[in-house]
Amino acid sequence: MEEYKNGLVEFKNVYKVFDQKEILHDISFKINKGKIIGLLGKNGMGKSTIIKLLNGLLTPTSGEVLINNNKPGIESKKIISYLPERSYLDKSMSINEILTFFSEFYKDFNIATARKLLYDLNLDETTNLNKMSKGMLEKLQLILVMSREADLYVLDEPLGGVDPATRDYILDTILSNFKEGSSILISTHLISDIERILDDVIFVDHGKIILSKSADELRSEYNMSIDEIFRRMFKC
Amino acid sequence: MLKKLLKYDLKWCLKVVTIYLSICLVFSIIGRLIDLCPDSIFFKILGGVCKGAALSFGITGLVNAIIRSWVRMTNNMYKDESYLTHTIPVSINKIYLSKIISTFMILIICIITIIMSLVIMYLNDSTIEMLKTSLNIISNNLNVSIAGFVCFITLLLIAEMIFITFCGYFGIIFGYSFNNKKIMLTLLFGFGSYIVFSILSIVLMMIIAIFNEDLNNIMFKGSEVVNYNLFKSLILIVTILYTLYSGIVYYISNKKLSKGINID
Repeated sequence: MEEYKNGLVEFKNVYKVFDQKEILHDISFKINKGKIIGLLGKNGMGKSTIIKLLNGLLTPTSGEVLINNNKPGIESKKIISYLPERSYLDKSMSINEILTFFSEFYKDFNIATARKLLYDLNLDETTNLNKMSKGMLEKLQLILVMSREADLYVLDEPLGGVDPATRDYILDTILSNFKEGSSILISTHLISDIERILDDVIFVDHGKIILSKSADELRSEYNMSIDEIFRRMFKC
Repeated sequence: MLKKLLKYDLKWCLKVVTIYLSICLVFSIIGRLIDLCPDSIFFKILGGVCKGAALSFGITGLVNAIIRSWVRMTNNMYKDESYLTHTIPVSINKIYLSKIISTFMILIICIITIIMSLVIMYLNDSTIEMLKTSLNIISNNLNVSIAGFVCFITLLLIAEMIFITFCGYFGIIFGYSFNNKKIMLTLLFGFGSYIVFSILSIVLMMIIAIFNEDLNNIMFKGSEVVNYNLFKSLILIVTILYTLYSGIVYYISNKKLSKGINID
């Protein structure tokens, strides 16, 4: 595994056990500043568990998770912008109220960026969230997450279950709005859509990291695309 | 940050509770206005219906406030919304404290509204006189002022409701710390904690009864005569016990939350 300097995130021998079943086994990796990392693996292999541990939504059974040398907590939450795979907004609120909520709690939230992105989507700020479709809610969440000037963006399956046009919109929004010098961790099993933007990849299978390398090195080593390597490695 | 959290918690819970409380006040006013109408069976029945409705809406508002505070806690801490709640840069103990304070404030609002509604419906010269007489009798016998007696009873009521709410929170925090059967375990821990502390209160009373003859007569010899001094002491002891229990339940819940959470 590549040795990183100035690691933003560090997992040290992390194990996670649920109901006597080992979900994660000896996970160790580092994320450097300014990198786009793909956390790749089939569904149910432990990608979301890694992301939840990173965000403090789960506590490791053993091992250590460090973000800027701190355990997940108030300081790490200030620098991580997290997009979960499910809808996490209070549906009784309006878009305007959600914008105010984000401005009040995240110092790095750029409301002007959010308003611009909402305007591009023709979304009225007075609209109530319970009147929005699932697709629009997902886009709104992406806008909120990408409007933060965070050090690390953690995106859990941002491309899951969306049409190709929306995938393009999501990728464009991510690439044109993340803060320069920040890192992005994207978890997905739809590799062909994102492989062009990845600097590093981490392959997760049955709760273990089976491969962690720079995307370019991997391509030249195997002489094929990341998507093809993935398909070969995870062949059923 | 606590202020901001409180603002959102209060807003969410009051959104529905204020509807109940407003209807309660409206019915109280209508009931009172009907009392001013000419004396007839029709108006008496209509007035009774309005007053009954006012009381039902007031009590429903109070129950709704407690239930909504539990729902808010579950949604915010353990359901989909928890993905946002736990990723805002605020400590989990502060998030919990906000739920506690907002519940306390909403309960006070509900109790004040119900008292206001009762005042609107029933306060007239004869009820003032009746209240004065009965409160005078009680306060003379208990050797406290009327205001003191009303304060004691109100404090007891609030302390008990806060304790019930804390038991609910305790149940949610411990029930949702398991991976399976969360709702069943929430109910088990919630009711369980309430029952355990209630049994503890009875045991404490039995211990006190060993040293207190009046209490001994009531608890073990089936006496129905309540000594006023004993009554005053009991109100005080129960209020202190509820406050103490709430503190213990809050401390244990907070400790549990500090150890971290596990969201599905």
